[in-house]
Amino acid sequence: MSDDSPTVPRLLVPLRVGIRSVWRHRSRFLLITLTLIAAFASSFTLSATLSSVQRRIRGDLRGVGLDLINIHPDPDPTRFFAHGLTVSDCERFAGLVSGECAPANVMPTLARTEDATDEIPVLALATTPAWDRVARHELIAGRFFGAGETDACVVDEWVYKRLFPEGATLDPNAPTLDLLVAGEPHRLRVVGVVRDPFRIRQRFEEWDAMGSARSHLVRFMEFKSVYVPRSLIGGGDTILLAVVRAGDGVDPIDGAARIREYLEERGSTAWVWARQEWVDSILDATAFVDVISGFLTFMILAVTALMVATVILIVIRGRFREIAVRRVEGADRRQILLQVVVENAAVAAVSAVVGLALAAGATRWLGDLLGVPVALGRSDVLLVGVFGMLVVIAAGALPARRAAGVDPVEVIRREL
Amino acid sequence: MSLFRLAVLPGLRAALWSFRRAPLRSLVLLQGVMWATVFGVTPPAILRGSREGALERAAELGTDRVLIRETTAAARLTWEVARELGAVDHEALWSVSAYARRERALFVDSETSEDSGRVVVAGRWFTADELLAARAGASPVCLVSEKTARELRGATTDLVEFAEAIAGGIVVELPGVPEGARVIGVFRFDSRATSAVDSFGYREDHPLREMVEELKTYFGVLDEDIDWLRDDTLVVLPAAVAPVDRPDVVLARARPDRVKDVADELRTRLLRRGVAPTMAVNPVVQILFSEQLRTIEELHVVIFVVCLIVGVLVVTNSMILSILDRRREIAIRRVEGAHVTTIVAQVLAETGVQCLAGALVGIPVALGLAELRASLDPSGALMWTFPATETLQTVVAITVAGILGGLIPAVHAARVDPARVLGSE
Repeated sequence: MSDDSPTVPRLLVPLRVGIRSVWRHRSRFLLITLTLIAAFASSFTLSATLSSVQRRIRGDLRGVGLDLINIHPDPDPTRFFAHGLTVSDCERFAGLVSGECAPANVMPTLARTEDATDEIPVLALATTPAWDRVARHELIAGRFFGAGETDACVVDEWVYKRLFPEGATLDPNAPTLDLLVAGEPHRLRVVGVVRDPFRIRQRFEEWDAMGSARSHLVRFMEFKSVYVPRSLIGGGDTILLAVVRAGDGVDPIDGAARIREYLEERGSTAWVWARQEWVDSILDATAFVDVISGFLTFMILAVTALMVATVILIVIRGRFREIAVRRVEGADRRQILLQVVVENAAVAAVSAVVGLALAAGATRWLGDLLGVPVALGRSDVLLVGVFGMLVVIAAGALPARRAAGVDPVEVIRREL
Repeated sequence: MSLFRLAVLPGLRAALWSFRRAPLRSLVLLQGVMWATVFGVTPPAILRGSREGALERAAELGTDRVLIRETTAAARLTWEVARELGAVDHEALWSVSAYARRERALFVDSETSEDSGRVVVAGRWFTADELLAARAGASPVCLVSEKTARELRGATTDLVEFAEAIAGGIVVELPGVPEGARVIGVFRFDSRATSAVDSFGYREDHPLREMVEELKTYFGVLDEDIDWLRDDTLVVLPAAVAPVDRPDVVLARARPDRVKDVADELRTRLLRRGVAPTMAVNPVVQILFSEQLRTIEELHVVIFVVCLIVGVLVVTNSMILSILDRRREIAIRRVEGAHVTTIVAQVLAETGVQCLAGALVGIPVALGLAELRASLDPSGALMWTFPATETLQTVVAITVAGILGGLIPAVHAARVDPARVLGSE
């Protein structure tokens, strides 16, 4: 059946010729396909990795409790002593936001296992059972200590994994630890373990390189704490920290403003901040990093696209003679153009699918390497897939247009 | 030699001819190889440069420094505790010195002037006795900077005259010291230790300085203003005569690649003593020598290999087209007597030369990007150097991979039938 047969729809002609052409130049197309597969696979993987890491960081930050308000003294030693925070203030804070407040004292210290084989620096956070109701930590084992349990403590997952790497059983045989308070060890039963919201640090903890310079007043946000009853550390009226949960219908940012106003009236220099504000500020401050990584992704995609485009351009230039022969056989310019576009689209589609499969494997490997689940999101697939297909089609169409426009007689004579 | 004449030289000629004949194709090949080189050279240039810089320019960049201070009201970080830290047995710990400032006086407990970046240019530093205990009834001893000495003795005074004047006895008046302090030496700051970095090693004049400060605030980092440690108007006195029982800051110096270990050890010691310290350590140096950086290095190798594979595919594509274009030329060469192996060798040599050229172009681009990355970073500790070994490895890997990629085109060239090609004309 000839190309001009009326029984064959006109659009199918370029497709059939294109497939035939691909088969005829299979080794050359195989190389282009391999190049495209490598380009698609790397671009899918890169895009998925960057977006997954960003998602994880944002997710971790949101896991700290966005509806909470923190109140503590100004870490600057010159203003520290003017905070004047007391337990009764905590009750007042709760009233101001129609919620609940948990008072606490904090002290950096050391925690040891019973046999003193392991010793790690921790933050001792002395509070009341109200902390559990206010902070609403997710406990991965056990429970929060109750009223009157003076020998019990709850630890963050980070602390637990370092002190009990073997995974001791919490209940009914709760493990114990020794907490150093004013140089003296205090033995405490570990009755609960709080899930670590910062999952990203499982592999990149050392990257919090300024952590040692952090004020102990804000270290409770590191989630490397041992929660102990207030009676153990500074059980008096003065407190160093209050965490408030705003009541239903009260915006934590508005609630923080009310508490700030109250403290200013009292002449207190204490800091009040809604965790939501803090997370937003960090994300805003790191937006620059997002811009840089976005620019990097774009640059890599652009360079890949340039490379792919020029390779296709070269291949099309190498097929001028074949295109000229097709013209002599009767194909018009539009059919030539359509044939090349169909060829390239088919090659790009096959490459994208194989590249996607390879990227799925690569992202799993990268996830294990980085300690972050790297997943190919729909946006990654769409962005890279559509952008890549368009680049390949455009890269093929431009030289094909030129090739279709060349005088076939001239081309064939020159080739001979 | 014959291989060079038979294959490499014609390969070089062919590469140049190919560039002239098909510049676009050659540029594609060059840029593909160039990016692979960039991925092979830039990361080690930055890593090695920064690691070497951290070790060799430690005093200037503060990469050997652990600044310790107590931020609670407990006031347990005393001169005695600071001296205990100095006695910690850690192979990477160089020195521990403590400082307190009151008005024009800087009190130190260090046995050498170098601990605080000072060099004694006339007279002497304090003896151990002078540092540990004040002598009853005697005037305290002190050192002054060259600037202060000139203010005392006249602007034209030279070091010999200073030494003579010290021997004759010079007394500096200080608030709170009714009898004044007797000058025993003159110091100047070690020029190597001069730098414009803060306690974390961030450059004071960097355009991203504001962002760094913002992040420090959000992460609750307490910055220590240590500019007064380098104030040449302060008179240096031994800690024994200090009117305060605790220093404002303790400065430990340690081998930069182990500075984090040392900081951890000192922190544990202090916590055992009930001191809650905050410690400023250069953040970049901690990451540079961290175990977790290996993950990134592994990733870099993978990216380089992927680039290499893509580069090889580009080379193969490009060379196949080149061979198709040059079938007539190859046929004529065969007719002239060239052996199949000579043709294959020439194709491989041409590929090798083109890859080598791309790699050589990639080296300055890679170093330029390293410079750009280092200058964009607000930390003074991020630098670059020419990584000779890694560059050589990259160039060799790319050239060899390129030659391997040229095997398919070489087989194409070897299959050219002169009779058929020339006969069709």
